[in-house]
Amino acid sequence: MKYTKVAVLLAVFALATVPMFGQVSATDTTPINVTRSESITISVTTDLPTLTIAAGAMVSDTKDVIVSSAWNLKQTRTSGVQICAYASGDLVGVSAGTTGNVDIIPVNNIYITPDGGSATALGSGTACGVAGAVQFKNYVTASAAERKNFAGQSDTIPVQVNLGATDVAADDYTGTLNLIAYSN
Amino acid sequence: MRLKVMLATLQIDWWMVLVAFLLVAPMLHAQNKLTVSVTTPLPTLTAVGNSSDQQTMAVTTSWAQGGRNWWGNVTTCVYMTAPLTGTNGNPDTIQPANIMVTATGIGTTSIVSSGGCGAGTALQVNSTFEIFFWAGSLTVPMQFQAVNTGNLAADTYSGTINIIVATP
Repeated sequence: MKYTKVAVLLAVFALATVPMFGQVSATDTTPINVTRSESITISVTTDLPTLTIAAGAMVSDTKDVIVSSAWNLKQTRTSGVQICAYASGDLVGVSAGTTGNVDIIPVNNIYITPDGGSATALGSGTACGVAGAVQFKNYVTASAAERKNFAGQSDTIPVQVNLGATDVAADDYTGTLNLIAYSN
Repeated sequence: MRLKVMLATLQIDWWMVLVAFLLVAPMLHAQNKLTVSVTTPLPTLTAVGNSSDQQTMAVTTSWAQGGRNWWGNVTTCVYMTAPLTGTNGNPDTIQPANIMVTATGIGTTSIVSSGGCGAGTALQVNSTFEIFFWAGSLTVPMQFQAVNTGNLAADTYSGTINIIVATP
């Protein structure tokens, strides 16, 4: 009888501990956001060879600098990607410090030939949002495909020096040509 | 009268019946309260190259079951029903299969799974056994990462994570 009593109480206890109802659940939601940043790059793949102004000439030969550019733009960038060039200063003779050559080749005597255009002096424009920059090309970015992951675009930019009416002493003249890929 | 005879036969006192009643009564009137909420929101994931960084989200489950069960598992699951979409007509999307979840016990796996918490494609992130399952809370952290992002247009992609918890 004692065991029966214990068994009855255990049965009550067991009933209490067994899940008596079906599974219950609760829910919530939360936002998930992933940002892929814009990118635009340009790099020189072939440096500009030395331009040569022949004795007695005022215009150099034309040589090419080759650049490679890539971009991944937001959908709102529909105005294109511009490839531009500018010089950060006049070309200075390398002998200036030793032989006193004071001649320079001014920025606006350096020309590039835009894609489909004619030779244009650097220092004369404001392309790519930079004073003195000249646009070489404007890539259309009207479609989603043109804005997205445009990689390995290569441009060959012809460069030439035209001294105009002002000759310079025989020397090597050096400076820096800056190249820009730009979208606004 | 029959109950009285039965109790007398079993030599069960009235106080024993009272104790048993006090044990059972709460279960018969159990007020089940179960809630889940995001206590650490998921920061924006930043995709660089073919995958994003990994960010942590935490969800907290609270329950007050009024003696409904003495023990049980609290199972936490997540799922998505739609891809992440961009803005301004960007046709690119991030499919749920490319959202990876990392948590203790499951390693790193896609959020697209099967049958967690009894919900379609939900991924079970955690299942914790709780004893004396009257009332309590449980916080489960988990990390999220987007993969295969290399071919996406630059944009911010947005979607919704659904959280579901289940208890006995």
